[in-house]
Amino acid sequence: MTFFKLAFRSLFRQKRRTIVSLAVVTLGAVSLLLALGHSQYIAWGLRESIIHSETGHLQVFQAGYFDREEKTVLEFGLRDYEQIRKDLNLLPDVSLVLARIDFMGLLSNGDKSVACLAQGLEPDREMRLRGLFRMSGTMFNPFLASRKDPYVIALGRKLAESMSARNGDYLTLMTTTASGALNALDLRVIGTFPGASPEYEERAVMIPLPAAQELLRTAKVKNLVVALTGTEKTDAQFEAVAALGREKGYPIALKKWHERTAYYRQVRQFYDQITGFLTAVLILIVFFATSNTIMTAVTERTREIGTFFSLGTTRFQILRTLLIEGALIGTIGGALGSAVAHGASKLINSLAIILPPAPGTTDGYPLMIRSESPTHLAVFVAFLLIASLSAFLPAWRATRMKIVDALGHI
Amino acid sequence: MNPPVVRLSGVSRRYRLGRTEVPALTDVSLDVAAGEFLVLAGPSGSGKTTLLNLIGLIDKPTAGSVWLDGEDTAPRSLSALSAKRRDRIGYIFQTFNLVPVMSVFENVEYPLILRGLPRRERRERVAQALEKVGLAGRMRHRPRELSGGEQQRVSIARAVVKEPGLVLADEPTANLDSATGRRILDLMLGLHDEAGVTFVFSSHDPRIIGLGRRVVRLQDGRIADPSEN
Repeated sequence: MTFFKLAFRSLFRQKRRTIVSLAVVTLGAVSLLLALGHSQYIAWGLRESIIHSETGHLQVFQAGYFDREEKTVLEFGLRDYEQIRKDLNLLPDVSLVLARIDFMGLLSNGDKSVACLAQGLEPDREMRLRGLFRMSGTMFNPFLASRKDPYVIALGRKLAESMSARNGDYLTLMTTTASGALNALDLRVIGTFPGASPEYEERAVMIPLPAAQELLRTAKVKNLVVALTGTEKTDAQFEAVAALGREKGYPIALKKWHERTAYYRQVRQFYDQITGFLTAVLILIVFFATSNTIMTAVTERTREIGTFFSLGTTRFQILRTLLIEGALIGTIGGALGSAVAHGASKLINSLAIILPPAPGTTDGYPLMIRSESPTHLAVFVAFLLIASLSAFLPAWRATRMKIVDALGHI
Repeated sequence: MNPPVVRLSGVSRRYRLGRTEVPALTDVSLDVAAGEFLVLAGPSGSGKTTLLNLIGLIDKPTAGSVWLDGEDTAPRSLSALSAKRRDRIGYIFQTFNLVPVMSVFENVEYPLILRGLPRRERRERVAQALEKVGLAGRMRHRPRELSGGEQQRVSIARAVVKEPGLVLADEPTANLDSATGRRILDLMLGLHDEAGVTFVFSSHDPRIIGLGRRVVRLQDGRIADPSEN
């Protein structure tokens, strides 16, 4: 009979109470794993959607872009971008390189003018970028259908409504050129597109890159967006691209995707705070449930503990046995919780539940749970430690008993 | 008389109940020689259990000293006292105090685990001890499956399995009918005669007390007739 076996049998001496404690620990682990799994899904989905629609994994700028404010449009735009793109495409982990220009403009239908945020882009590559994350690129279909005509424009849905613009209508897009003069292009409306927020939809327009360069009278682009074969390769490829720039003598500045999106950081922080709070609450519940079980066990077994002492059992051996009981509650509850959470996440994911749009967004998002081994392992270890720790105080009190008092306990 | 295994010198034990102190033992001096079969006799509240607790190192005197195997136990640390109890003293409780989640075999084996004996030796010793108390066929049973007499025999086996120098029994027959009590006492006498183990047990039952080879009578926490000791 080892102390482990003794602890295991003692734990199931009061089956009902132990089952209740195990249920609390299991439910705690399930709740925490589902909450963390959903939070991780949100963070992962948001990260990948931002990367595959906005930032790419890396962005390449002209050197100096981040050091000073531009006095004119594209003053620090990227020259030789086609040559740089060619070299970047030779790197083994680079999937795609896109060129973009962002600028402010004034959009007019003759009756009404609206300030807009314009983006000159390469629709076919933008579509492929989204396709890398299984995102829909159908918003670029109208561009591909009008491939031969560069003088086209797509509008954010709310902007199209506000301008009463329909496909085939012509709108005038006016802005200042790279040299500071005013310039305008008449562009044919070919479609609308959704945005992450109503504010974005009210202001955003997209035009083909050649049209943007013609409007701005420039051969530069604002930056190159680099998509990799995996987000985890970002740091390594950042170094590889920097080395390439040094080797080829390109005057470039690099940014990683997370340096270009404050929104992601804010959302991540928000979810981290919620899950952090939830974790603290669940840890407290598990702590007190286990502690209560061991405390009651110690009270019920006071005379038995006295007997153990009288037989020559040391304080450490008593402490160890009771701590093992706590650890067993954490181990069994944590393992059950992990298994149940894994099954529950599969079930929830298969139901394809769509949650209402988050504040400030236009579309609902799926209730999906990521079930990742490191998270399950971390929660399991955490619950094991918490349960062991929670058993410590009652176990310590047991070791402080006076043997004669314990033997006389009824 | 053999040299004393236990020597109590001017031992007193007082308990605090609220603001008052209650004397349980007062100025008790007693020698227990190796191989003795000693009965502590006296009515309830006379201090028998307190005296056994002090001899068994599970309580400490408020005054006086307790010597075991020629050593004063007062300066010993808690872990050293644990080791003494583990190696030198066997206990038999009035209420048997078997561990319900352990089988008969495991209850008897437990003191040997504490002493770190190898599994094979433990198995042999437990089998012998249970054979001696007539429970070799009940090894796998749990205590609740045994009668009171059988449980007390397991308790005796647990006390003697480690071959202690001293076995203490606190009213070992009080919870048993007289016939079973008598059998338990015969068993203890047999073990004493066979192995020469020192037995000290308490009782208030005159029929049981009469079987003692030496009787020390306690009255109100004092030895009734110190000259007999």
